[in-house]
Amino acid sequence: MKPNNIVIILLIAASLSLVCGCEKLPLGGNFLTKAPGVDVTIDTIFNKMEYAERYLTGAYDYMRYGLVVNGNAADETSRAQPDPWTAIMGRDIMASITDEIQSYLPDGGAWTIWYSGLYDANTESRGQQNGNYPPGASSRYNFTQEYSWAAIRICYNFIQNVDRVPDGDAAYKKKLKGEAYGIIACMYTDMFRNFGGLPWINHAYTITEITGQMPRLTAQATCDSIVKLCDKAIADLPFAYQGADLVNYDGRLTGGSMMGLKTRALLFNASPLFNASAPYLDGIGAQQKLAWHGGYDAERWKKAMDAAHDLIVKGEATGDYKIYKKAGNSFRQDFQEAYYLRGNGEQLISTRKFFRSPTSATPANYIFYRDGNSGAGTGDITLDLVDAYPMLNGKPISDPTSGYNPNDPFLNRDWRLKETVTVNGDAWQGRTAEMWIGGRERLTEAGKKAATGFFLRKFLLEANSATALNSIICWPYLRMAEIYLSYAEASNEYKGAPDAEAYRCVNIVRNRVGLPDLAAGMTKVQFREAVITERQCEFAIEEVRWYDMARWKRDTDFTKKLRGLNIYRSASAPYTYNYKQFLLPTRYWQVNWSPKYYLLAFPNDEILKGYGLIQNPGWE
Amino acid sequence: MKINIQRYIYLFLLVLLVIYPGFAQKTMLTGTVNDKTGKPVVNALVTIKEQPGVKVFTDTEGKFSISGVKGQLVEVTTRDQRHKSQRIETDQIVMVMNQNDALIQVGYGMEQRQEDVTSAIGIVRAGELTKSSARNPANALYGQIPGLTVLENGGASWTANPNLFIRGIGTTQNTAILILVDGFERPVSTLSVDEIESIEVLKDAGALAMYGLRGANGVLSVTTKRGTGKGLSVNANYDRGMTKAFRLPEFLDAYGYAKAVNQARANDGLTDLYSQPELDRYQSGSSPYLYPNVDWKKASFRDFGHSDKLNLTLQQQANAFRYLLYLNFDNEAGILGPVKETGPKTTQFNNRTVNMRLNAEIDITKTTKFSVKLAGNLGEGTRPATGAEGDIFSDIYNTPAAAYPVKTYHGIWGGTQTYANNNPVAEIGGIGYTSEGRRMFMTDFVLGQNLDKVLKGLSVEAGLSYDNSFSYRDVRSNGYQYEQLTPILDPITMAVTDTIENTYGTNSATTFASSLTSYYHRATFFGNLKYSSSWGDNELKSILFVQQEEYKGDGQFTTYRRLLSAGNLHYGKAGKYFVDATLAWGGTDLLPAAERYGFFPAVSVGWKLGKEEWLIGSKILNDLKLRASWGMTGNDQVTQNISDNRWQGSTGYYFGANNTGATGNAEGRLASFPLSFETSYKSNIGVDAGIFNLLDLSLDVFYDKREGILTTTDGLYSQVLGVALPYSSTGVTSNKGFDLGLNLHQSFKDFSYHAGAQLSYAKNKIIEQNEVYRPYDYLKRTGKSIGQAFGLQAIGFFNDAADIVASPKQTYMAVSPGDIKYKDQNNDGFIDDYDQVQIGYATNTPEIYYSGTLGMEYKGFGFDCVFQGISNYTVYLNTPSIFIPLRSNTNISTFSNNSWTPATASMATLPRLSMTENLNNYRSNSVWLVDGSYLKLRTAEIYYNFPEQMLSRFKLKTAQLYVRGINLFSIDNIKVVDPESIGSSYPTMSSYNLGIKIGF
Repeated sequence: MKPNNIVIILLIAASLSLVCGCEKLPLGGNFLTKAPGVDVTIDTIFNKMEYAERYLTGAYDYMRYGLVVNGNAADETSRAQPDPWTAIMGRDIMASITDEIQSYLPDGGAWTIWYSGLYDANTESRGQQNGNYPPGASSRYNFTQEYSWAAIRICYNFIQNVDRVPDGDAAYKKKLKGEAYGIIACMYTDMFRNFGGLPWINHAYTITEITGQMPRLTAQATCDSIVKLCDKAIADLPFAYQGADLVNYDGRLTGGSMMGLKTRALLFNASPLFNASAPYLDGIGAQQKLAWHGGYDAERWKKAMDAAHDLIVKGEATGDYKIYKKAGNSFRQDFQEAYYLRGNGEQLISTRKFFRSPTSATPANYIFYRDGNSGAGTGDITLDLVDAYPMLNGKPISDPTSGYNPNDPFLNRDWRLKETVTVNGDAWQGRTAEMWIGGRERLTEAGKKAATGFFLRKFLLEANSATALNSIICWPYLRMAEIYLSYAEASNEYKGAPDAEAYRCVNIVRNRVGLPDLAAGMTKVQFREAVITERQCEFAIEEVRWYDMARWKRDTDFTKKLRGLNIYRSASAPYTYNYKQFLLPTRYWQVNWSPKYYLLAFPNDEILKGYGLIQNPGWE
Repeated sequence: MKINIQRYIYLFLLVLLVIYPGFAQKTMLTGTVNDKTGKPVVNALVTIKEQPGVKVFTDTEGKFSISGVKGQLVEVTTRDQRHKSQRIETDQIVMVMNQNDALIQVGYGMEQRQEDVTSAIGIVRAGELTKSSARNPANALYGQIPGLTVLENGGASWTANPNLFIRGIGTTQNTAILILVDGFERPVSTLSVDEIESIEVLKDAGALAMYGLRGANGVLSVTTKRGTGKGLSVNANYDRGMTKAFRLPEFLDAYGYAKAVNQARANDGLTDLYSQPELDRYQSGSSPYLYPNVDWKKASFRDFGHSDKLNLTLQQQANAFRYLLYLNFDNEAGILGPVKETGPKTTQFNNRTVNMRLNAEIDITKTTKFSVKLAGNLGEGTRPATGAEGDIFSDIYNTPAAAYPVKTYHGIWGGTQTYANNNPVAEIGGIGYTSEGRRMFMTDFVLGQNLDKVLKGLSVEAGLSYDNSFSYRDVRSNGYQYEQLTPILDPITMAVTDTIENTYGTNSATTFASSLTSYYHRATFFGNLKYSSSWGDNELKSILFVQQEEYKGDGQFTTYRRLLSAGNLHYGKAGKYFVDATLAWGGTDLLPAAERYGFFPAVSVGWKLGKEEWLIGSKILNDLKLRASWGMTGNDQVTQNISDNRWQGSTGYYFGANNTGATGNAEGRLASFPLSFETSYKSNIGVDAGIFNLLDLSLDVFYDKREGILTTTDGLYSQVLGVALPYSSTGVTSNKGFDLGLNLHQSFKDFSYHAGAQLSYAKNKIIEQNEVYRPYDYLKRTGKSIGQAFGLQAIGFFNDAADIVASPKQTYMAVSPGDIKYKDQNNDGFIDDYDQVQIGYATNTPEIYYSGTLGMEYKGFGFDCVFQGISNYTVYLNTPSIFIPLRSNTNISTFSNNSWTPATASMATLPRLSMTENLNNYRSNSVWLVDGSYLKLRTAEIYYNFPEQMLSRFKLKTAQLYVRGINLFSIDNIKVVDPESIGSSYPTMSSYNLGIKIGF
């Protein structure tokens, strides 16, 4: 053999040993086989009760919360999707589109789409665009951005999979499944009250299923389905927690929660918006009974009445759910603790969020509605809400015998007024509130902080940015007082006149704050108005008023000119105050009213995806 | 993959042991090699195909003599990689080397003569590249290759990588082109210009199909130099450069700033911040501490930076051994002024790089070749210890002249709480440095065996490449104290009655932090089988190869593995008709098993009309070739692991009376469906022509269609699903255009000149991207270019309150006179996002990229210049201080001089000044979206080649002295800053270089 050949052989051998020696170098297709990752999959989650429960916890996080907890618009633009609970109403609160609040936040949802009249099916779609602040989130309940569907998916995924979790006993799993059904019912109830009939999701859909048809159920069928979910949850859940369980489990859904939610859904269903001989507005959505029941049926009121009464009776029997009162408390303190405290038997469903520290919006941040020198003006209460509160003697201020003094308007008023609204002269931050023009709460007439002459006290109490940041405030999603008032309303409608139990249920709410009983012998209509006013006063800023106005088609409440109050202090002591009403800025619908506003529009982009979504009347 | 270094050493030693045996002699033949103009081609390699191992070189007169027999094939390869073969018919051989005899690297070790190429390939060679003094070779490519778009970015020259696009962009996803150095994927920025032999840009399917899943965005292939020529030749080059910021924005002085603030506040309905006496103090400079007027640019910059560049190349081609040894040293210093030097470390923007390369080829036997390439890049850069490189420039630009003095009368750094500790001068020289070190090592080993004994024309090659790169950061910084001086004014006279002196921050001790900023290694193994044959006037070349590649970076999802097998068949008939057929099969681990493999065929044909008898001898067309190609190629650059439905932690909730926090878990985005790589269908028709023996023309027209682009599905599936919607590979785009190259060159006895022009046009279109619903056609992105700018259309400024009331309501904020008035596109009475329309062109790539070159030489004196420009391009002027003034306490530049005021309402081109965010004005609209086109003089050079007679006395072969200017001027629309770098970053530089090149 020639030396050259030897060299070649040696070289080939060397190369081979080099290549093959590289730690079992995989060749061909094996080369591309990935090393096993450490990724968490659905099987990881449902392999341990702890993980599975955490998954359900994520659904609780999507429950409706009515306050703005992160006012930093810049935070929002950096998100792939807006945070549902910080972006509702574009950093306004829902009360700013009722007669409760006038907002002054120029780029908030109220001004940009509601007061301006810009709201429509396109605005609803707009959250999908790459804009600065997603205006779609300025809707009051966006069909695709509120995370309701995300919560529903989580719950069905949980229900479908929890039984395969090896640890955790069956009873506990059953309870958690009950909570999951309950969360689905909450989400659907919220959507039902904003959209009417809805596409019904009954399991966690796959991507291929979602391409099929998913038509809206009729409004009645949607309500029936919600009731079924509630009943399912009631069967699986304890009626209430007591003692140590209450400390640990408060905030979780209970049988009582679900009985209450059922009442809320049925009351909306029985109300004239859907339950009437004619639709509120003609349109294909009405013809297909998605936004109208097709006729009036008194039995719908009975269902609501019965559902409410079941809970009242059971709550009173066990003592678990009641109108909250505490010995030694003032009337005002009782009211405050009723809406503010957790685990007090008044709260049927409480949702909680963390008030986050804004990274840049200081000091006039939006969270506190009234912080800083000017404030963002998101919590300016209208004089119309203030005037709804009666005198302590129970008489409305319009009653000449009420003793109301227009020159000292806040004297001897329902305690709930001062607990809800910061009024001139009330205790405030260790002094008295100076709501007069030039006062410390309202430096100038043009300032936004108390532009109506008032600002919000409810929930925020006396907190300032230092004390409220990074705290958790409970949102009274559903309170026992609503059940009492709902019973009174439904019973009055079903029976044609208020009976003794209906009176009792209203009076128990009034008596808590020291108001006397309603006058006996009211007609059906008088009693109905009395109950709606009671709800207005009791649940101000609790996202009740909008639905009351909508379900009773109270066009005059939508179109009336809202008022503020300019307060002028005399130049020198002893100070006297001069009160002068003024009209607040006109909202588009006050002069261009259409019943279409009762329900929201479905976003156009969803309709165009062609799965059978039919638009609500007036928004086509 | 672990590589055992010992094995390499073992292999290496074996190679060195080999002694190549001699070879028998045949009949002596003589010949001459000339170029087209009749000049001799010196030191070209002459071989005979049938006698591997026989090598001679042409002498100074282009003459050679070699032993051979009639009928054999003589092959000539020049030192600038031109190649030609010719059948021996007589004892006298005369060969003329033309420009299109150049060898083109078509990939995977295959070479073709330019004349035979059927696909669209652009090329630039060492000669043109070395006319740039750029640190990063990518910066030497402006306007050099038709179809290659090079866009400069801001940033110091050694950290900025220009954006490279081949024929624009063709996808809404990853547009990165594939960059190869000697056939393996590597960044071009770690090379230096002088080690590069040629850069090829592969543009059509005929050239790109071979790259399988990597070809769709185009390939830029860099070939490094190798040892050529007889005897040892040494080339050295020293280049000294002075650098100067190309353009710096001009900011208002303290007086101008204070006036502007008052104007802005008046516009916002606020009272003046500065009273007239205070304005006077700013203007007069009478109170430099309380009313300072600091030119922060002057205080922070020096006028010139400098660069030194030293290259040394040694090369030799002995009988059995060829090598090139290359050494490069670069030193660059930036333009910061008040820097602190601590020993060898400085807070100056400074960079030192050493590049080393050994390219060696050894004929182990007459049929066995081993080649090794070892290259290293070591570098270290320093800069002030600010967070990111651009931070110091934001500080300089954003600090108004009136903000505070550099130092107070206590000798403490100036500052205020508003501007915190951002004193630019303190940030440059007072807080320490950041030093960044880079190490990169590149190795290739290829063993080739000629298998003529098995089958004539057959050869095999196997090779391995391993690169390892890491960089680290070392930060040594300290805090500093700054003092805020606040004058107390008499409320009536505005005289200063007292001064409040507050200090903030502390002069803290130096802290040390080191971190690994990047790490990766890439290992590639390949093997190929080549077969070539010729019979009659037929010629066949073919290759079959396999390659597998692993890339591993630091962090999660940074490991990529790819497989590629491909075959190519090149057939030529009579030197006139050529056909190429390619089939590639590639796989990638970025995609799940079922979707990871793809086939990519391509076919290309060429017809050399210039060789047809009816054209030979034509006075007009001395050369003509038609080319056409069609084929497929892919792009697998998708995000990893989107084929899985992953789960993760999520926001928690608060249970219990005490609100105990509970953590959450959540389902992530659904698995992408369907998921695939992108497939590009490319068609290309080209013509190459030589006209009047003077002008070379090359024109390619192309149409690409890209399918399988990853898109979101928000426009497809209902949100009712309740979870982040999957991605889907269903996007489609198209891209069409042309590349035109013209070259004119003529030589006379003492005089020669050349002129060139290049024009590239590429217009893409989104055909399908599952676009979300948009209610008006003009809002739709589909049908428009990728990256098309959208914004509101300004129709002037509001004159007064009545104008505002009478106009459609602008919903972004309550507007004032002087705010931009927008056109209500949908006539709904509101100005909102639905009134956005397309404005100008895309903001990512220009549609038109062109250049012109001109050069001449007379008796050793020469001149060269390159102009380069872009057109059909839009930029968004949103840099704070430079374009958007005063907002959030920023600065104001001369750009804002023409802002609206009540007095100048009729002439204003910009909206009113405002101290606030102004959501109405500062958004994407036709005021800030402007034409980004420019024409720049990239290079201008004057040189002198010393005559040989003079050089021979110093034993030198060549010597050249040159003066060179880079980025000398720009004609553009933006004017206040470089149109290519509008942000607050290290400015782009002009540079003036003086250099000498010698060879012996």
